[in-house]
Amino acid sequence: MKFELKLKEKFNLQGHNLGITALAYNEIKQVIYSASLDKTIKTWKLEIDQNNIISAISLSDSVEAHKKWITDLKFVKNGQLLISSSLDTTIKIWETKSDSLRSNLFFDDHSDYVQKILYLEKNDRLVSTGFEFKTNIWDLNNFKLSSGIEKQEISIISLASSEDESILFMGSNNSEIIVWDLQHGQIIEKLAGQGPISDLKAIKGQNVLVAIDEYGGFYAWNMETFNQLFSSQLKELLYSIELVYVNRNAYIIIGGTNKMHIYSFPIKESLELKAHDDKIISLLTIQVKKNHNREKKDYLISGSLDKSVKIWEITS
Amino acid sequence: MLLKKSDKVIFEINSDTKDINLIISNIYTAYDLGVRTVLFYSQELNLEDILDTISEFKSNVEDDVSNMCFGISFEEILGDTTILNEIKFAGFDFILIPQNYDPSLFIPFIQEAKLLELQVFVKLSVFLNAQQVKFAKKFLNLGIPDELIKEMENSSNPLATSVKFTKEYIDFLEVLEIDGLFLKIPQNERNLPIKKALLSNEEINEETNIK
Repeated sequence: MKFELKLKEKFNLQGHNLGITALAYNEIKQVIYSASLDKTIKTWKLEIDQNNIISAISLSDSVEAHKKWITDLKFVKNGQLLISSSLDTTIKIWETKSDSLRSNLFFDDHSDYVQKILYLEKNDRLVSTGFEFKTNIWDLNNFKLSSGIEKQEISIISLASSEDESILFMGSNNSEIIVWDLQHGQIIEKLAGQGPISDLKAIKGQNVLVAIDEYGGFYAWNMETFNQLFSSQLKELLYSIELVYVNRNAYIIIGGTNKMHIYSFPIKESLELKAHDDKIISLLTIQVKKNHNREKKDYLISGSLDKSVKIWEITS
Repeated sequence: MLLKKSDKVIFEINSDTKDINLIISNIYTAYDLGVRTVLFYSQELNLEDILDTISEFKSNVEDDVSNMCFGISFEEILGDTTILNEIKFAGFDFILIPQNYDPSLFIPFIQEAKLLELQVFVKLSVFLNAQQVKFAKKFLNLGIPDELIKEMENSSNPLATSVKFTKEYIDFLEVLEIDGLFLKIPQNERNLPIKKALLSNEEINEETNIK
């Protein structure tokens, strides 16, 4: 396969006082939300021209969302609600209807830092994982706790699900990935990395799980057989992973201490790009389009501990 | 004694606000309440606004308020120590800095502060377990050594291991002749085992927030 993905920096958004930890994009409202260690969620309004090019971005809102660092951010229910998690042990639910975020509802079952959240769209469930060695599953139909995975012996720091949402992958602080059967509530398999599993993703239509660890390990497994397909050491601490689909080809973007590593899939070729001045904690691909256009244009967003959010144009 | 001019209570003022009048008002409120030590903290590394404010305040106010003890809190240690000259020039008396395990960064910073006769206080976290250390290593530039993580991971009593590291670190700080410590246990401040761990005989100052 010819390596045809190109990234070009288009915008460098400044405004947060501390590092960026999470990003979300609302396609209908055409806004990016960035969450930070500075406890705020900032809203960035996109202006999109007739050719689906982002022509300008402006800061439209900033909310002090939590009492402590914000750790994650996810859209649920087709972008109607935004959910944030924090070191203040709460998970807050935000209405996105108006220009300014409003929250009247929060989950406070966790007794320690909430590290990661994951939305299971088909089941309308939210998975949250806390420092108290506990993973919760929330039913977003009634906003109540549905079930929990308690007395875990390890701390979960990253989450992903299979495409059909029957399997939950939980990346742990001690280099294991727990493969959890969501229907039967039991462990199916344990996969091993070499360091804290900082992020993991399932590749659409490929039955492949890719994961990275904070000690530089990059891995791929078959999600049916759990055979390891790939393993590499990138000699850089790794923090975030995102997938980009261009012309039906998948690409894997990995955020490191300041570089992005880009791999084609199946994993063969790669290139790297200096992207930030500090660790890249969050990566997100978005598709934008002017209201009535059919085609969409792909962009990558990166958030770093250098306090900046960068927007990258994806071309092939 | 933690601070020479301290009257036990330290007022914390968030200096992220650009409203100079609010900051001045907070200083006077602190003074009226009998406080003689004020600590400014900010999430912004750009300290120019607060330095200008205090510099102007100190040079224009002639009453006892201007003799209060002013300090500034850092989120992280900077490689560039020129900011310390500006802090001293603005009229600050002390700095509160986070722990840092990188001696090439930490020692010159403290030495420069001492040279400028700024009192140095260090915020020191006693981690409860390995996951807290890993989390701090990921998000904070504290130069946490891998040995600390490995030892805590392999320990049957991670808190005891952390306390051991903390005591060693305090010995290191003593050699550097710092002026005091602010001990923290993330998510478990109330159970700070200072006496039990024989970490310090210092009293912890009561903190009051004005925002």
